[in-house]
Amino acid sequence: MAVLLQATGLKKHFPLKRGLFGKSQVVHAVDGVDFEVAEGETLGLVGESGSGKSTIGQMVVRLLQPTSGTILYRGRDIAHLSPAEALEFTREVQIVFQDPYSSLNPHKTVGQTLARPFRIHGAARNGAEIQARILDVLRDVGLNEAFIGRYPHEMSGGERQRVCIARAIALRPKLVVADEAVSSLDVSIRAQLLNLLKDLQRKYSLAYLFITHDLATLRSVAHRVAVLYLGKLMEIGTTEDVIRRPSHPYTRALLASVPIPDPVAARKRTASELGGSIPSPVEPPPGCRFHTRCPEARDVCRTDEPALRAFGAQRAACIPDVVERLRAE
Amino acid sequence: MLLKVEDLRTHYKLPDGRAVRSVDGVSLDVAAGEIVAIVGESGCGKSTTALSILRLIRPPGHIASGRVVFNGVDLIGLPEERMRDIRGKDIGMVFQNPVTYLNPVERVGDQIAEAAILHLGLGRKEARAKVIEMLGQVRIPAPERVAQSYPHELSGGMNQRVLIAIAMICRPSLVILDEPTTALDVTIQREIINLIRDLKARLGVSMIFITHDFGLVAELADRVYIMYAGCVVEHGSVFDVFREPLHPYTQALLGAVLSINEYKETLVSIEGSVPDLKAPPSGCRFQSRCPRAMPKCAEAPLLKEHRQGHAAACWLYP
Repeated sequence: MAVLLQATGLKKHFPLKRGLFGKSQVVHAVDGVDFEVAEGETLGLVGESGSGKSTIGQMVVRLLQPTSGTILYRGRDIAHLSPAEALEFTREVQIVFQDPYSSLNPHKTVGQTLARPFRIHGAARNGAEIQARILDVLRDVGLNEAFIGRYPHEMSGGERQRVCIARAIALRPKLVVADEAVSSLDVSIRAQLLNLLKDLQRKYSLAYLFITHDLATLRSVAHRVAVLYLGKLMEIGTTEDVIRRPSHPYTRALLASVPIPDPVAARKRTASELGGSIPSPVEPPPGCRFHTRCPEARDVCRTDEPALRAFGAQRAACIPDVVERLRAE
Repeated sequence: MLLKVEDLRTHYKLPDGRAVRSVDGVSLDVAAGEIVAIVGESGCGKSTTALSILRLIRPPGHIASGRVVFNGVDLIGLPEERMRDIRGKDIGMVFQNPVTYLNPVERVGDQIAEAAILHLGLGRKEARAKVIEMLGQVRIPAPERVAQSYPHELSGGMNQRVLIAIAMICRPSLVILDEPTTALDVTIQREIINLIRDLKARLGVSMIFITHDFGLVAELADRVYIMYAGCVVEHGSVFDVFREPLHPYTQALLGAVLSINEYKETLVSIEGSVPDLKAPPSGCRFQSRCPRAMPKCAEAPLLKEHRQGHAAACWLYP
């Protein structure tokens, strides 16, 4: 399938203000990441706090400007778009955030919120047409006309998130960034929304950049997974490959940490721990970012940063013989 | 039985005189040395149940009726000073966001020592030794250094260990853990899971573990209570409940749970939403969302043992 989005050498550094006398420092939030999203596919970005996954999402929708590196959308560099192209871009690439309450204007009804995209983009000729389009998009997300006059506080969390999804898909985008979009919802509501996102993907051949800390969700949602640690890509591959044959020690540790909702299986396995804690992105460790917690770490890992290499259909940033051994196990 | 909660009802009064019945007739048992999980979605009353056991319900909430028999004594009738003695000494507590329960301007060692000095009457030196020992028990590396740190100098996982150390220092027979890993990263959560297992095995302490995460229930619990809209709808051993969930709500919840071990094309979802607890429907509270509802459900089903130790409140099992 055709590549929709391509990120190359993506970096985002945030300067830290330390007053007049403090040393100037930078947070290395994203530090050289490459990935692609194809049309109609779901790429999962997974990582713990400080991995840079949300920063990547915000760069993809142009809410943040990369410090360096490029993001090509359908072959065009999104850092250099004319105003007309930028408008076109916002029509095709949208985002849904974690907390629907803070991403909806509390003073606006659902109808007003959903009318905006059509107005801004001149996508409907008159009020009646806007109303018709709003109704269509509400139905798309499993709501009905009764919601048009409602305010955010009059809805449940699940309903609010449906409105956010409706706003994102109103103009039939090609790519939606879902940043922990279902993470704060209850199990039963989360299931409803994941089903909805999958239905919309089939119906409109949407691509998702699905950002989450939850590997169990990714298993049923993402076609491919990119594993991030401290602003770097550790491993990328199809979801099946990454979960069945994790090729990086970090992916392995992450998978071993996830609780399994099956008491028999959960008690059978010996869940090893990583130990240590995630280092500060202000002074990330030299060499491999993960070496301070890696059970496989060697001397070379403390000085040389491993490149992302292909192993089968996957790519992993680790010493080849470690990867080969992990894959053989 | 270490703890026996009988027909507990906790209500929150609204300004208009009505009451939200957050906990509406909950009964549960905790035996010595077991981990009991209370699981349910937001608003089901699981945290309120825990706070009621500790008698930490603040106005406009109050415990309307019921018994909380701990070591043979009903806590509901105890004077507040006696209760203060039990909290932290006989029953420990660990909550979700460790930092909000720690004093930011006091060294964590002093905060851990406080309970030991207050409840066990230890002197400075003994308390100090006890703190260092306790930090070792919760597997904190370099306990001497950590004891001298302030909460902001420690990571989230470390602070949660500190909170567990505070809860455990008086060697309580019961610890209540309310979503203790929800705010933590997966790899740190794993460490806390292993620590909880380890403390249970080594010290034989009983625990009530409150969570919305079935993964954690499967990892940790011996027995599980499923709550919905203020009531227990099912309870049993963790193996029975996962293998053969009885109540349609439990069945649906387990169908909606995602696992890293399994790809699910379409997830089971529960349509509709939780009933309003200001005016809960008469009869079974789940009936409006239940795929197997029948006329009989207009009458509230009682919790009945279907098999040894496995009970459900549903007319499918009369």
